[in-house]
Amino acid sequence: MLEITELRKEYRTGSGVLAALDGVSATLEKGRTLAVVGESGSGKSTLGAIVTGLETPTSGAVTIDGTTIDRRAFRGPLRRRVQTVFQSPLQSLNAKFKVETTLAEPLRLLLGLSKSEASARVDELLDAVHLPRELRHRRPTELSGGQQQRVAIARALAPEPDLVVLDEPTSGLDQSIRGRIVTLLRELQAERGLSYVFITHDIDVAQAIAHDVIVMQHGRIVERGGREVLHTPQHDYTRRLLAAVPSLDPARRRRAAHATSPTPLPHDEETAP
Amino acid sequence: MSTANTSANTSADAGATAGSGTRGWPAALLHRPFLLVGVTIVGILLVLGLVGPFLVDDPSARVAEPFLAPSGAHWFGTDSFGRDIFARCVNAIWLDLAIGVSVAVLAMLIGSAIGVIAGYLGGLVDDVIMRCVDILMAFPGFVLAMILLVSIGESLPKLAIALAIAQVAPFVRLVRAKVLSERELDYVAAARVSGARWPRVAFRHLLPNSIRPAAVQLTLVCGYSILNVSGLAYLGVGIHPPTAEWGVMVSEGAANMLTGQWWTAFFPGLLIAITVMALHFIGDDLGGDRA
Amino acid sequence: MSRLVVENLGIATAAGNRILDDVSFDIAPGEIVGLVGESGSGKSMTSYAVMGILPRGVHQTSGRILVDGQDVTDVERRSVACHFAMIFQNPRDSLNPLMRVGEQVARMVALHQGVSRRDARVQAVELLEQVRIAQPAEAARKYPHQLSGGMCQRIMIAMALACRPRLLLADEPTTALDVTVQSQILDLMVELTEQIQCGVLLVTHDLGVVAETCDRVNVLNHGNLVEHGPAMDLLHHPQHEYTRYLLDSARELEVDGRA
Repeated sequence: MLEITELRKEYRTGSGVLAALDGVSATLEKGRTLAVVGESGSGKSTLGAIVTGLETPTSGAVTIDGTTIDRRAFRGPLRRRVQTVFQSPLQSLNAKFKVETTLAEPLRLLLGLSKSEASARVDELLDAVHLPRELRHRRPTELSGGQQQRVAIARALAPEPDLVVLDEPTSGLDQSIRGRIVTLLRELQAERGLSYVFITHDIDVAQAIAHDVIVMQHGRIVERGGREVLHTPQHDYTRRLLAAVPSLDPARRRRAAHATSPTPLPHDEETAP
Repeated sequence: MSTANTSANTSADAGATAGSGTRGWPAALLHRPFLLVGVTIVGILLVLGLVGPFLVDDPSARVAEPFLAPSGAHWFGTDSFGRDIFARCVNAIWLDLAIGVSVAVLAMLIGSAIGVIAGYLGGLVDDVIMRCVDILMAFPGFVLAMILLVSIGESLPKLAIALAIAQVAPFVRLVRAKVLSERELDYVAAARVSGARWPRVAFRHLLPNSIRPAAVQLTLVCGYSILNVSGLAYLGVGIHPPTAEWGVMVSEGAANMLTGQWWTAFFPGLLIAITVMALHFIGDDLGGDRA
Repeated sequence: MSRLVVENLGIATAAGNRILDDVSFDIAPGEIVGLVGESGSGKSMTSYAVMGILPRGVHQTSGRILVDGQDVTDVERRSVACHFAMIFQNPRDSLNPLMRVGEQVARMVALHQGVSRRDARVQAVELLEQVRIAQPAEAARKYPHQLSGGMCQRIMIAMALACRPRLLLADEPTTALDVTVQSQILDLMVELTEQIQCGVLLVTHDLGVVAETCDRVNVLNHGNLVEHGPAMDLLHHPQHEYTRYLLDSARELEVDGRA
C-alpha cells in the first residue's frame, strides 16, 4: 500500500548542501510493520516526516494505494489515512488541552463528527489503548509517561487511519513501560489491520514488532529484509549496531573483557549536526 | 495490570514535583514579598476606589478655602478651587486603573495575535510585520499616542486605543519570540496531522502556550499606561480638567509647586508612583524565577 | 577505605513528601556501582544529594555522606578538595556553549591543580587524548555545538578527570547517545575507572548497561532500596519481586520477538 521511490531530501547548511535522505526506496504491505532502524543523523526521522506530510521531499515520490502524496493531497482525505506518533509524548501533547480535547480534535476535524459524537468516541479510544475513562479530564502533565504515550496513540487512531508512522514511540519511556507499548501497538495492528512505519534506534523493539526491516546510515539504506536481518546481519554496519546493544548476557561483560585486553577504541563516527 | 502500574508511577511523579505546587496560594505569597506587596497595594487601591467615593466629599465641589495645607479635616489639603484633593484622588482611582487595564489588555490582544501570526507563518509575512513593529518601536510610545490622539480626535475610548497601539510592539515581539521556539515542538506537528489548518494551529494551539511572557508584560504596560495617561493629561491631551484624574491633578498643581503649595501636585503624583510601582512588582515577580 | 559511603540517606520536599527513605550503600575504589529504578524512583535525587546539588524545595532529612572517609554531608563546608565529579545525560547542555571546550577543561585543571594557565592548557589536551579524542589539539579549539553528542560526553569525562576524582557520579551518561557511541563511552568509563581507581555511581534505567559495566547494583523503588548485591547475581537470581518485575519487562521484548 505504501511505496517510497528514490526519495531524496536536501537541507541547505552554512557550508553547502546536506542530503538527509539519499535515494531511499521501500514498500510496505497492508497490515505489516516496516521498521526503520538507524542512529541519529541516519535520516530515519526525515523519512517519517515526509511520509506523514510534515516535510516535502527534494525529489522522489511517496504513494499510498497509488495516490502520490504531496501538500495538496494532505489537505484532502489522505490526512485521515496517515497518522503519526512522536517520540516525546509530553512534547507532542498540547499542555493546555485536556485529554478529551486532544482526542476530539482529529475526530471533529477529520471525521467531521459533532461535539457529542466526538465525546462518545473519546471513551472508545481510551478503552482501545487501555486507559481508564476518567483520564479524559486530565492534562498531559498529570499523566505518567506511559499514559501520555497511550493518549498520543489514541489520537493517532482517532481518525481511523490505514498507516501510522511511529517515530521512536518507546524511546522516551522506562524500559518497563516500553514492552507494554509495543504489545499495545501489535494488538491494535491485529485488530484494525493497521500498517506501521516504525522508526527506532532500539534494536530490541524493532525485533519485537517488525515484519520488514530497513537499516539506514547517512541517508541511505545499508541493509533490508525481513526480521532476520536483526538476527543474522549481513552488512558490517548492522553488525556493529547489533554488537553495541547492551545485553544481560554475562559473556558480554565489558569489565571482564577489558581486564584481559585493553584494546584501543574506534573514534566516534557520527558527525556534529 | 498496566494501568495499575502506570498510575502508581503517576503518584510517584506527582510526589516528586509537588514541592511548590500543592501549597495554597496565600502561603506561596508569603515567600514572594514583592508579589505580596504589589497585590496588597493594588487590592487596597481597588477597595478604596470602590467604597471611597461614597465616603469622601464631592470631588468637584468647593468644600473649603483654597490651598489649605494637609490637615485632619483635609488629609491631602485643598487645591486652587478649594476642592478636597483626597476626595479627588480617591475618585480618580477607578478611572486610572480602568484605563491602565483596558489599554494593556487591548494592546495584549492585538499584539499577541499579530505575534502569533508572524511567528508561525514566518517568511515574508513575518518580515513585513516585524519591520512595521520596528517602525512603531522607533517612536517613543508617548509621542506616538499623542500624534494618534490628535489625529483621530479625543475621547476616552479613543485615548485607550491610541495608547494601546503605542504599546503593541513589545507584545508582538515577546509572543513571536516564544512562538518561534514553541512551533518546533511536536504538538504543533501533531495538530497539523490531526487536521488543523494554520489559523487553528496558531490561535488554539500556539497562542495559549506562548502568551505567558505577554501576560507578564501586561502588568508592566498597565503601569506605563497610567503614566502615559497622566503624562498626556499633563500636556493637555486626552483627559481634561475638571475631571478628577491623577495626571490632570499633577498638571493643575504643578504651577502651585513654585509658590509653596506642594501638596496639590505631590499627592496625586505619589499615587501614580505607588500604583505603577505595585504593578511593576507584580509583573517582575511573575516574570522572574518562575517563568 | 570506601570511596563513597551513604548512610541512612533520606530526602524530602519542603511540603513533606518523602523522595528517598533510609538508603544506604557504599562504593569501593575502582568499583562501578549501579543505581537502577524507574523514573520517579529517586535515583537521580540520590546522586544530586551526594553531589550537594539538590534542587530548591528539596532537602536532606537524614543520613550521612562520606567521600573517602571525609564527611561531606554539610554542603556549606565542602571544598573543591573533595575530588568528586558528575556527568549528566545531556552533555551538550552541561557545557558552556560560548567557550571553547579545551578552555573549559583547562579551567577545571587550573582550579583543581593550581597550575598556570599555559600548563593547564597543555594538560587539557592530554586529558582529551586520554578520553580518546582523535586530534585532541584540534578538538580543544572547537565549541560544543561543533561536536557530536558522544564527543561532548568525552569532554565531560575529561573535565571530570581534571578533578582527579575519587568519586564519579554518572547520571544516565549514555541514555541520549546512539548505541554504537554508548558502547564506546561505556568502554571508556570502565577503562578509566580501573586506571585511576575512582568509585563510580552509575545511575541508569537500562539493565543491559548495568549487566555489562557494574560490579554491584542497588535497586530503588519509590525511594526505597529494595535489593542490592553483585550485578550478575542480582540480575540472574533476583530475590525481590520488584527486581524481577524490572527484569521481566526488559526481557519481555526479546521473548515476544522470537515468538
